[in-house]
Amino acid sequence: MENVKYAGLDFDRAELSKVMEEYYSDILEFILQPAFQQTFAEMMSLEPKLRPTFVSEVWLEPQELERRGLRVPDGVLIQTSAFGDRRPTLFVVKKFLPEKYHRAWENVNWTFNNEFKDEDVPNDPESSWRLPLAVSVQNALMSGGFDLQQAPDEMAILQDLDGPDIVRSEKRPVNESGA
Amino acid sequence: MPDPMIDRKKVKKEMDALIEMITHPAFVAAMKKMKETPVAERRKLAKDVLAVDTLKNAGVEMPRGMRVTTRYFEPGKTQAIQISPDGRLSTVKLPKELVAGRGGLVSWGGCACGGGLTFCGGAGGST
Repeated sequence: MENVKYAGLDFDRAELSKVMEEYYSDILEFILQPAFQQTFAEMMSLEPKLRPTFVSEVWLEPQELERRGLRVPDGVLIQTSAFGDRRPTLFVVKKFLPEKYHRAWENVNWTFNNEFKDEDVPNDPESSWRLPLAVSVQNALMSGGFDLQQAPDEMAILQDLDGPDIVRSEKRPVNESGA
Repeated sequence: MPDPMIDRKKVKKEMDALIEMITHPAFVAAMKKMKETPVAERRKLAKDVLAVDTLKNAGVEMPRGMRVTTRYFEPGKTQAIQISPDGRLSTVKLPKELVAGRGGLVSWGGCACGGGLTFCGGAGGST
């Protein structure tokens, strides 16, 4: 890979690549542990619509992870997330890069999704850059076997909110995917 | 169902391809530009400068299945909500943590993810 000094940034490509490789590798060592792999295999043996509950009850529960022999290393986060293209995502293992690099990239991650066909999730700019669904809504829809692509845009997270609590009612039905 | 086991060699190869892509000067310049743009205008900008075709045209080699999108990370466990049998959602109350401290905006970021559909490597830059 050719090294390049980035315009307007105080690091170059070689430095950024090196730190990214180091941080990806930290996550990789964690997810390659037998206890992680066994837990992941257990989740994937479930029906897709049962997996969001498994994420909540296992991956997001430090005590349950510890019981399974999994200790999350310092600086590594297990979180849920939602994408603008609405792929059926389950959880992510993430690590923040040092702040110096945040003017370009903030974190590196390995992400785990339910199976989906590439052609079933749009990849055009307009669809890709929608505001993501709230994770609670996304997971409820996945658990109910609904197609995330059919969810109304009103279920997306909101911008320009004026208070710390957001209460919304959604009365529009969504179509079941049949998957 | 695909093999759930994660293969070190395969993942390392995907990681190398991903790093090659997201450290490309054109990709870094696009991310920098997005982060220097006011939050309210970022998605509009991203549809252009971070579109897969725009990046390809700038010389970025995009691995198969690469996606560049908005992404929101939940800081903790989500509040459970119910869907009735007729497909209606009950009231959704989002937790306080969902609201970022930047003038009341919910924080979201751009994310590049590739390498596979069930399991993929990604990198993000948030608002």
